[in-house]
Amino acid sequence: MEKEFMDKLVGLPGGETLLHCFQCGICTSSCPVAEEIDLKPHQVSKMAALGFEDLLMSSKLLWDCTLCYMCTERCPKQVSIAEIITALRNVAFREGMIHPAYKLQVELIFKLGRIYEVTDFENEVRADMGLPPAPPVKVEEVRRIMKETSLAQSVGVTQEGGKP
Amino acid sequence: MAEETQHQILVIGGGIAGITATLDLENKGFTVYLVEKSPSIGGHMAQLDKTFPTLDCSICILAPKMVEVAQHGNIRVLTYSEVTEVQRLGEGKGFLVKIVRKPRYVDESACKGCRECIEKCPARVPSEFEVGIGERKAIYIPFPQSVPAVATIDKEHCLYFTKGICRVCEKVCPADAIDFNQVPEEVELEVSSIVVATGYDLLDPLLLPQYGYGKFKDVLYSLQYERLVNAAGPTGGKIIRPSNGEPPKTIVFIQCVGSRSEKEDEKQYCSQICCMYATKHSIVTKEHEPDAEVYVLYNDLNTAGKGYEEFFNRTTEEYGIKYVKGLPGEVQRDPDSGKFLLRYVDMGSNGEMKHIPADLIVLCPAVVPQGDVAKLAKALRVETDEYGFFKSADETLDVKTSVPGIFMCGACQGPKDISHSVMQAHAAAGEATSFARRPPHVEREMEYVEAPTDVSEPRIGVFVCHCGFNIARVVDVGEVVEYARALPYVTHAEDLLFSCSKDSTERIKEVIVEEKLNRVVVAACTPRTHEPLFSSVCREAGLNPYLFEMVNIREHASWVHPKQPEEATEKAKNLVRSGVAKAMLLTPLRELKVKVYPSTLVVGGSLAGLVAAKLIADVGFKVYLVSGTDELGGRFLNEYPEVPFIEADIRSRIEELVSAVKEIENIEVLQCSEVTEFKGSVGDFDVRIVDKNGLDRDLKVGTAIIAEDNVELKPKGLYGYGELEGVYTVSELFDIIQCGGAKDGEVVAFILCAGAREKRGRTYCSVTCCSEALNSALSVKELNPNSEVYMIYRDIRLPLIGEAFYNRAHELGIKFLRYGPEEEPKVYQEGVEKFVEVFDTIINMNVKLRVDKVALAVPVMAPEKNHELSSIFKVPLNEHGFFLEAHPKLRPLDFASDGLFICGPAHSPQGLHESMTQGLGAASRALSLLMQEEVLVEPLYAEVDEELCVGCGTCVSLCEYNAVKIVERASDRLVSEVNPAQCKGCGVCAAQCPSRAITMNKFTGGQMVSAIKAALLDLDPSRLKVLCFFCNWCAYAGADMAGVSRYQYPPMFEIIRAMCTGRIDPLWILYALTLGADGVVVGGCHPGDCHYISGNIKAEEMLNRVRDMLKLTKIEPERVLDLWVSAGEGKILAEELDKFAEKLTALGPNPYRRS
Repeated sequence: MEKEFMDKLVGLPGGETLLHCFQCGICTSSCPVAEEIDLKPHQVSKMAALGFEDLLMSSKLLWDCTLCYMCTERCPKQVSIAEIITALRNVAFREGMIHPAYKLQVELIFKLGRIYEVTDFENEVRADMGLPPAPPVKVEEVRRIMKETSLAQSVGVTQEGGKP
Repeated sequence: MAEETQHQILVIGGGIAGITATLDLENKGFTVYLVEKSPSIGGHMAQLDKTFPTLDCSICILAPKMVEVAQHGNIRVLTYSEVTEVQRLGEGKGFLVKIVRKPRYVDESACKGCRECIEKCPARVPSEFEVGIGERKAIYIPFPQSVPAVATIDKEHCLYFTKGICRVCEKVCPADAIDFNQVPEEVELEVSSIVVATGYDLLDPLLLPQYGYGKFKDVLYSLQYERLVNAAGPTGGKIIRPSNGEPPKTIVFIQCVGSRSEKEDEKQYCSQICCMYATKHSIVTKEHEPDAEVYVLYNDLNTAGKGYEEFFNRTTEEYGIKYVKGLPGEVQRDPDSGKFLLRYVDMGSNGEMKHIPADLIVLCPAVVPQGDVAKLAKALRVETDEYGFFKSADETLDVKTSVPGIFMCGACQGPKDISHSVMQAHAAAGEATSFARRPPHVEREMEYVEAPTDVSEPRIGVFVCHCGFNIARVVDVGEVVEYARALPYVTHAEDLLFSCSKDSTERIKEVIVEEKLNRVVVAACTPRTHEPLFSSVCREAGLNPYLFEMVNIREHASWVHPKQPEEATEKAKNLVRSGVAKAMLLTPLRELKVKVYPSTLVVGGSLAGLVAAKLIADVGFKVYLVSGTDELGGRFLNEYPEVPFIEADIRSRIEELVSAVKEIENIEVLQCSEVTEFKGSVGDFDVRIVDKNGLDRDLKVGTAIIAEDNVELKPKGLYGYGELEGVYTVSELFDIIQCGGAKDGEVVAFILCAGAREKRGRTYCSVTCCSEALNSALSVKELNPNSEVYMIYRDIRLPLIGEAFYNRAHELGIKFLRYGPEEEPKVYQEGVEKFVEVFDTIINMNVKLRVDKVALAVPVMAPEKNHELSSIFKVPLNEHGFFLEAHPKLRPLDFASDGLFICGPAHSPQGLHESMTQGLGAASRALSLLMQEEVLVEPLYAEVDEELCVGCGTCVSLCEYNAVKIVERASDRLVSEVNPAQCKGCGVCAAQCPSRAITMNKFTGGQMVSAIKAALLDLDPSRLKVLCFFCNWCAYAGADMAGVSRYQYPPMFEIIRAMCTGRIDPLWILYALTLGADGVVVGGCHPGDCHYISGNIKAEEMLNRVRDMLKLTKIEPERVLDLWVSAGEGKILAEELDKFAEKLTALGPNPYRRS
């Protein structure tokens, strides 16, 4: 079962670099949110290798990572920690472990085609900066993509009102 | 090839490796051309402040070698020169070499090195020697000890060359040496072989901009830090922040800057030396600034090497230096405070983030091949590896390049420290010797011209050395000079910054002549390393070299009393007074010429022993190879028959070597035999060998090499070894794998450092275990891909080529768990299943593994037999039972006793490459003596005053060497007579002669009594004073070790050297006590280890008699202490002296003083 988890990760995009980690700590030292997270980037690869799936899935790191890619940039072994975290998010997501904030974002996109609603206020700000009003979004198109990739179903939004 | 060409060898590169190879070859009778591209030889070692692990002053131990290069007649030094073309003249014909001598614009033969020009030159330029943190002039001599001590004009910055003005150097030069019209000069040479020793550079730290080098002034790199802490450096040894000149409170060393990285411009390999030099720096920093906070941020700590782990342990135990696993990502500065806000993860404390306000950051960049080495490689047609280091033609041998006749040594072959460079230099020289034909024996200049000197009325010159800040930081050198000047018979006294530098030795010579000195005293470091240099300085000045006395105010004063500058200065004055008093009575002496028997004894059938035997035999000398068993080849053949990370079929290679050794006519293999007796001295040893049938055989040899193998630890009880099924050592598991005993799908756990790197006991790192474990783990995984393999480790320590295999292990899914020494893994059984439980310090969690097999990476140990050999050969062992070399850096393969050498496993735990190198190196050292055919031996022998001798024969019965006999003189008078060639110079006869008719050269009764009397003059009533009579080989060497290691003891102890405790006359002890000494220490070798067989036993008997005698007086017998320590036991010596000081403090002053 441990092995399976590792294989699963290594098979995901970005996951293949996971094996190269030799625990130097540069990723964590470079992480802008390292003080705020429970598991540190360098611990991710080790725990993944050892198959500590539950600990990883329930970690704060998984969702607090800003994906700034500083870890990846600095890693001397060219491990893409940021991509591994993305891969981990995908695993978590598929298993229904979804952070409420993330869920909210998906709901908003489903509803508005954007992560926030464009109101007159936004357009006035744009006008002050000499920009045209925000172009309309083809919400139906976005929804179709979300349904066809089953993102919408996974989060549980299938109609405009939000919950089915 | 022309006759002379055969005997000419070219060495390229004038660093420590090139210097060592040059001297080695010159000793053998070759003419050596040493080409160096910079203006002076010396290389990086000249820039270093201290060397690890002994903390010797780097330039102090290097300078004598540089001076030697300059002085030897058969060495031609071509500095500021480059090899441009090399043509191979065909099989066995050698090479035609073109060398370009760059114009110095100074006539090398005219320049006297007076520095007038430098003084007046207006153009200031960043100095290469000071690595950019100091300046030089456009005309310059790189550093005070430069060889040659000749100025060079830097055309790029010279005002005349750039602007057509100035020419002030030309105007002020008293020697008319400036020549602006010089042009490059081409030199053509024919040589028989070439040794390449071009050294290394450090990776440009600008390539890692995140660490702020080049952006922030207070970010330095390691070589700059060497200069910053060096007394002769730009700050005079004051550690400052370059930005504001303030002393830094917090200093952080960052490891692996560009090493162990897959990024472009960075290096995949571990640079091998950085952890050790950072450890050295951190200790040196704490010594300069005890209140500074020092951090070392690392990934894996690589302190593999003899004595290195123990050296590292002192950083945390004694100095409170903080080592953190966790590399930082960047260096940022807080604009408000001007400090760095260093943010890093402390991986050992569950990944906690730490922020330290740092004042100074020191980067430790990757070691890379010397800059323009590619050009040279092309000229030589020698292959380089993927990193640009010179590549070996033979996977098992580091010193052979891809071109026959071209050899290499030092860091041009891969990153390595000084000791390994020196060993390799000897090995390369050995190979070059075997390749070139043996040079004809040249009758050496053994005689020297001695100026007619009247020695009756002493005219003593005293030179007091600053040793940069090594002495001057603690001892007030000026005060010592003033004091010396006022002493009787002293006609001249002065101080010297580095007395061993070329300009200082020239100065001493000048003063000897000008002041008509007939005695010279140098107060500096230990005579054990520097006496030969100053003796030859005297000789060159026309003074008999035995009219020289050395006073040790560094190892025995400044280094052991750093916190008591006043007392240390007083002590230095006393030591000088005592030395001058002895010098007054010195007499001229002459060396003895000794013939070297053209044969060598090699003890031990290890791989190193075989390699050594073969090289010596190949050059044409007889070798007796003695092995205790009937197996040759040792551990690499029998225990772990694979060299990690290389493909070569080692087993058949070693088997071939074994049969070659058995077949060569010049080698006689004596199997199942033991050496039972070994007597004599350099060039002339008598050996008794007993075979398994108990038959004796007596041999004569000129030199001997100890190459005994070591044994693998079988750690019964450790991690279930010997108790649980399926727990093996790595080599046992390796056998099982090879025999197909491992099944696919098994879980195998390797536990590293099993029984090594302990807190007490086996404190050492066994060097090869990481590689052997990793190699075996890869075998498991490759043969059985479904197996699960765990490596449970502390730090991964791999050679250059190992890193790629470490990556591969990760790729294959081998899992690494890191444990700390506080919590070792547990191996246990539950029901039928076996488990390993380990607390992983990275994730801060206990990990429990069900395992099928456990492999323990155990250390090798010195065999019990080493103790026997140690007492038979009278050579010391270290605390782990490995043989102790004469000097870990510069004489790594020599014993302190002339003519004896060590190599291979007898020296330390080591891998196959190092063993091969050491075998060749030790052989080369022995060959130097054998090829010289005769050596000069110091006139350390006893002399009989026939007027006083009553012919009682006491001396005859005491002498272990049968050097004394009773002869009949005219008028039926019986007197004893000493045979100087047989006398070893212990002085036991002199100490015990009832009529004091015998005396020992260099340590005569008169000289010693004079020294004792002077030492106890004007005793300070408020301070205790103890005289120590220490033997040269153990206690005095141990006191030197205490000094270099900075183990402190009270300044009340003053040490007087004799060759052996057996020389200590009981009357000296009584005399010292009656003059008011509060105690006397007689220190020598451990019982059984005496350099002169039994001198210490005789001393012990003498001390008992003295104590009995004291019972009749007011003086308490416990004021006389006997102290038996080895040369390696500096710490014990300091502790014992501490204890004795406490005891004497309780007793109070000598009752004679009180009354």
